[in-house]
Amino acid sequence: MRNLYTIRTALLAASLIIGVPAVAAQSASEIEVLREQIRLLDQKLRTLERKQELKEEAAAAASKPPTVTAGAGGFALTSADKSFDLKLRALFQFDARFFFDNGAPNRDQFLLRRIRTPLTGTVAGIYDFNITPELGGGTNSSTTVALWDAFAAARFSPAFGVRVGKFASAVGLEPGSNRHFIESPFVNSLLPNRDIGAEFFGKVADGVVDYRLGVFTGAPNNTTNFGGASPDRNDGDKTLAGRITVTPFKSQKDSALQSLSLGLGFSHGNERGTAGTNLANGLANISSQAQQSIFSYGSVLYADGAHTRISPSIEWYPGTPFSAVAEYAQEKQDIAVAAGGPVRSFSNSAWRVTTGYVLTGEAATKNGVTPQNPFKPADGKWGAFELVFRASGLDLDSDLFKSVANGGAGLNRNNNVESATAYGVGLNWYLNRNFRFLVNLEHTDFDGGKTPTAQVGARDDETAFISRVHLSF
Amino acid sequence: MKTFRLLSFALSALLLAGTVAAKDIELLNVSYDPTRELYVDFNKAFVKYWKEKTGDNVTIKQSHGGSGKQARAVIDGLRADVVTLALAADVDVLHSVAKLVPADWQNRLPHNSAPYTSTIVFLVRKGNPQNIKDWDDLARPGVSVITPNPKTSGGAQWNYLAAWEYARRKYGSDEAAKEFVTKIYKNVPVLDSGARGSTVTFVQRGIGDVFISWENEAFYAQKEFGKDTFEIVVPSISILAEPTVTWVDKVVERKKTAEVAKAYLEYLYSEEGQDIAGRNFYRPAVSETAKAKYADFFPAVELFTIDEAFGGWTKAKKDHFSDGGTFDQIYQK
Repeated sequence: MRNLYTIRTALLAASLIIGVPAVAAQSASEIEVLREQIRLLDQKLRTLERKQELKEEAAAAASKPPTVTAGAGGFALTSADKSFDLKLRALFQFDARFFFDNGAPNRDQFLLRRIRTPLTGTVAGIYDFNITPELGGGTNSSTTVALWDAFAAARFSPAFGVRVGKFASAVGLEPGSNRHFIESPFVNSLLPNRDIGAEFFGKVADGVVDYRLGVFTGAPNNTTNFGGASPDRNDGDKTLAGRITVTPFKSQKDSALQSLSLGLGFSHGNERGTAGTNLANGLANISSQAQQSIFSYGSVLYADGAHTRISPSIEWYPGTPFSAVAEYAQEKQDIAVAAGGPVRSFSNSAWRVTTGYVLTGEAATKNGVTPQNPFKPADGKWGAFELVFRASGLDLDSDLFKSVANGGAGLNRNNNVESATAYGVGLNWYLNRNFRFLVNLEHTDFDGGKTPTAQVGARDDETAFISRVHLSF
Repeated sequence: MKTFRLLSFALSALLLAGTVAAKDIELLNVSYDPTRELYVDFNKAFVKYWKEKTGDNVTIKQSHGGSGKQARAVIDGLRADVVTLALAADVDVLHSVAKLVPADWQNRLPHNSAPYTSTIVFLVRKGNPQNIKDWDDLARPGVSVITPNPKTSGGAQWNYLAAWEYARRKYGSDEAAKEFVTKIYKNVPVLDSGARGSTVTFVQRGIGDVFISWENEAFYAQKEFGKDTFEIVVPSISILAEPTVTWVDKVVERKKTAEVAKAYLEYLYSEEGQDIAGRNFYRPAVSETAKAKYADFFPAVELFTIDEAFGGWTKAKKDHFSDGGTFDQIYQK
């Protein structure tokens, strides 16, 4: 008994002595496993927290408030990702005109030439819109409000976009305006200003070729509305119009011709009006470059058939103080010379050459001049000054003045100018990006029209001094 | 006579004052993620240099983010006078999409418009607990790898292509390389949008065993947190990363900042500019003085270029990072 107890005790003692390191070894490896599990769990937790953090950062970035800016470019509201944007701009022009010739009396005037508040914007990144009312114009006793531009466009790629609505026609280079001078040249009198329709546009060949091609109602020359009755009314025909502009030396970085651009505007379509005035006949009057009416088709003639225009142009803004623009326009239009009477074709042409030089050395651009030293006389800064010159001409079809019996249109050459040549000089003072003061002195020699009626004609060759206060943003 | 002379002098002084009054010029430098510290130093130096040279005051604003995202921001209208991005392909899109720079922009500055270079290394935790030695270790199961998203980060594209080329050389084919890179991305728990985000993930959030990092980011992490917190492992082969710089023609023409913008980038190639790059852990590209000064600092590693291995960035982007490219094929969210 005593031996079993001893052996059991010895075995027990032996088992205890052998068993303690085995338990310790098993615990150490379990601890390592546990440590590794804890480490992995910790990593998983940190990863989840970090993913949540990144998600919150992305959400915060996406919900950033829109930015509101007010500056030389106007007032704008833009979404954080820039895909939505709304701009409110303004254009204010106050003119003073004085005449130094023996023409009709009482032509000197002040006028609010243009007052526009363009509302433009972009939605969803590529869809643009423009709604521009014109609040200027009117008479001494009333003001008209008109819709100058109203269009929407989609820019699918730099090479392809679509524009629909009422907007500046592509046929002329500067419809309804002029970069260098206060008033448009004669060329604009033969080309459409605004028209209603749809066009494709874009730049291809690395931006060397710019195209616009569309289908339009077919507006009369130099008009922004369509009169008492649309010239389109009677035939439903549309006018194909467009412009292609090529900048052939665009890739030649150091070439003086890098920015030289050659353009060709064109339009063709049928236009039909009815005898009457106020554009019901589809034929617009022509004004001198100082805006006096010098030619009218009257109330008998009316547009009745094909109207084709072509207008090549050259623009050169080489990034220096010098700039130059040349433009030519020719139109051929079918006109009914009597009610239900014969329809005849008449061709008119016009041209202009404009140059400018910035005396203060800044670069002349298509949008004007940005003064290096905006006007601040206290600091000796006076803005930028640009000297400009223009020569232009108008040549109407002499058949317009032949009698109807002799194959003409029967217009009176005494009342209506047949041709005109104008020479002008001007000084543009850019006080800053938004405010400018312009003065032009222009002389025009007329051929015909020296016995004016109350509505049309120039008693004498015209010498006009026009000044403009221009504010835009 | 005296009065006349005084008057003339006064008039001339007035005119001269009007024309030479010091100008205040502001530039925006849109850069990729890890260059913050570099441009803090560089901008200070350039502002001082330009003031001494011309008398004009230059303020330089910085924007940082994933290189691809930054390029898209500039295309969308961010008015960057200069871009200093992670790779040439991100600058190329400024031309191909928006014509903001000419097609030959890369020829306008020395060394293909890359004033400094870098490469890709591994940052691991102290003691290198996962025993990371080379690219193969990143594909091992159980190893957690941190790298940014190559769809938004230029640095991530360098990482991806470095891994691909390693595997293509070792395992002999593009298929094998694709399989290899797939394994690495299976080990990535978090995909940040830019390199700096990944640095935060690894260094500050403590996630991952190894961070595939720009060399300069790896050195910054060591500098900030101490060499006893992280170690740098140099792989057997890596890619020569050439971040490129250029002025944005359309913007500088409009803002009339072309002269200063060009001078700003040209200063990166000056002795001071190159020294600043070296000090900030970028390998100077052109200055022999700076290269010699920092020669011992940068580890020696066999490098290949994007042109040698992938036929250039245009092809690399098209094959790997465009929609439907290899990254889209291997990485499922």
